Amino acid sequence: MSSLSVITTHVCKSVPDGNGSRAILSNVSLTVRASSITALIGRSGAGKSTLLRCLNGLDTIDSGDIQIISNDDSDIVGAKRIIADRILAGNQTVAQNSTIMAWQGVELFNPVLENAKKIIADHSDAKLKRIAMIFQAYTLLSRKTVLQNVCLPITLRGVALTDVHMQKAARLLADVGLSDKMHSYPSELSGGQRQRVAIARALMLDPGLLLCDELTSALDPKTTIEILALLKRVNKDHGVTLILVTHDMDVVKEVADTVCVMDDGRIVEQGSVIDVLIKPKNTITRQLIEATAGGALPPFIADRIQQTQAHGKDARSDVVLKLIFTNESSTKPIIAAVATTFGVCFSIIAGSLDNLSDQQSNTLFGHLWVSCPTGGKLEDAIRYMTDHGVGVEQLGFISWE
Amino acid sequence: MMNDFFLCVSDVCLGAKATLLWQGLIETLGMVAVSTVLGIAIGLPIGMALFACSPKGIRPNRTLFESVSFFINSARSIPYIILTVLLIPLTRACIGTSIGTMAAIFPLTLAAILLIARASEEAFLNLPRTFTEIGTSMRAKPLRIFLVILLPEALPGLIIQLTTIVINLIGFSAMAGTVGGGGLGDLAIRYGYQRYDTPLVIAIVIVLIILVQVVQSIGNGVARRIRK
Repeated sequence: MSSLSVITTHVCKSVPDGNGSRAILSNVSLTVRASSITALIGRSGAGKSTLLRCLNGLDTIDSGDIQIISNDDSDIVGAKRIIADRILAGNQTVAQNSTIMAWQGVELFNPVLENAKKIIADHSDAKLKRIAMIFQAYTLLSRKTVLQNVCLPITLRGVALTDVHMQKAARLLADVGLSDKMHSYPSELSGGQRQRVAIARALMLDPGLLLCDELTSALDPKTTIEILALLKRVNKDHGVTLILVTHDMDVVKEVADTVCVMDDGRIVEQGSVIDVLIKPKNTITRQLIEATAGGALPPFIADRIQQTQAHGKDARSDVVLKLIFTNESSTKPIIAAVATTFGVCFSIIAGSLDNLSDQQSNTLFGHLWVSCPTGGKLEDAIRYMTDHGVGVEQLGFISWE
Repeated sequence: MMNDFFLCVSDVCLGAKATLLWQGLIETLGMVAVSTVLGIAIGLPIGMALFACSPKGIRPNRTLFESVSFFINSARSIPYIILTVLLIPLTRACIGTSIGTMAAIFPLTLAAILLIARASEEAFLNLPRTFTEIGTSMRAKPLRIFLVILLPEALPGLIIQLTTIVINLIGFSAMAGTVGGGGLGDLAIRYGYQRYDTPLVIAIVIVLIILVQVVQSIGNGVARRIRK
């Protein structure tokens, strides 16, 4: 089964709020490659979950365009079906006012209700439901066994369960490491195990796109790592496109290859995880990165940084620099070289080292906050570091007592 | 004093009044059972529909939701004994008579339908919203979402609510006497109160206490059993 890619263009959505309306999504344009792992990150209320729900038809959009693309011909029919469902599920007038789709290799169709109904009638084959979703909590039905829960997508279609379904469910449960819990009830499982069952259930219909809404938010760090490793494996083995909503930059580092930062209903930054982590352009992105362990300057130092240099006899005012090391520069003795060549000696204030790994490579990167007296060969030292691939940012000045 | 009391009770149990008591119990059980069964059969689908068309439901429909909701609320705010009297013309039209046990079942059933409709709507509302969304995200039809997900998940809560409703209906059935419906409550008023037969009233109260206890234990037991 081929995986799906997603392109949203200028998606807008607002909800009534008091006497006016409040925008939840404004002009969201997002591209998700097939078989990639994309993280949607942002603070609470940034609109990331809403965007996810719109992709899945749980919410409708006011205007804009959502394309879910597959190169597989049979999928195009399926995709039409998904869109048609979305229109039926949503507010008719909203759907009629928006041009929801332009399929690759398919005529643009105006989603009028009758049209949508006809398409559903024509292609009621359920193999075409290719988008699956995993929720943060309450994902399993408490009165059904693990096996019955995994078979839920089949049961919900009103199809009688056969041995083929059972075997498939058992195989998926083995895949997520829960063969021995097949006949347990969800209350007997831990949080991590429940999410594993939810993942197995999502894979039951061979999805091309898997949407995960904060699925590790309620889990402890160790379990989170295990679940993320499982998702990575699912992405690799099944080739399924993953979109994860999270507020945790560690999750992004651990699993994603593309990240999309949202704030206040807008996409503020979008790119490969490495690029965004090393050189965040937006303040929100910085804050999110700094919120993770070791990524920030201690507040008592940050508070003392001033934009202008203090003058006076007693005050020793140092310049504060943020040095950004990436792969090639993180393995060279650059600080030592600067000290010996230019006689510039840095005091290290704070720092962090991290690594990112994806299918292709491992990237080591780090941030180092240093201070040093101004003057001397500082300018030369900075030029030397920049030439050697170290990003240098001047943050301000600090007075040491 | 205590001795007298027990003598009276046994007199009730062994004497001619025992037959009356027994007959009253059968009538009460019959009225409550029939109205409960009909109440579930009609009230539960109404509750499902109400939940489905509620603002956060599967098929939101504000007009339908508000009007059904308003009707249920208004009907429930009428005291049961007045509802019974108000319904007499309708009862006569539907049942053919306005007197007797069958005639008493009609308003009791209506009360059961209203109570069960509201209670089941609440039971569905108490479920996490995710349950509905799991179904929607798997693109299941609304009826199937109810049958496969919502109804089984809400069942323990529904059973508890139903227990309370049955106990309410036992209380309501005491007013069946207004339309000559019989039952334990009617017996207590006509023989016990109007003929100053205190031992009979006490015996009826004891029977009612036991009845309610049994209903409550059955309800709790079933709910505990099916809750996983």
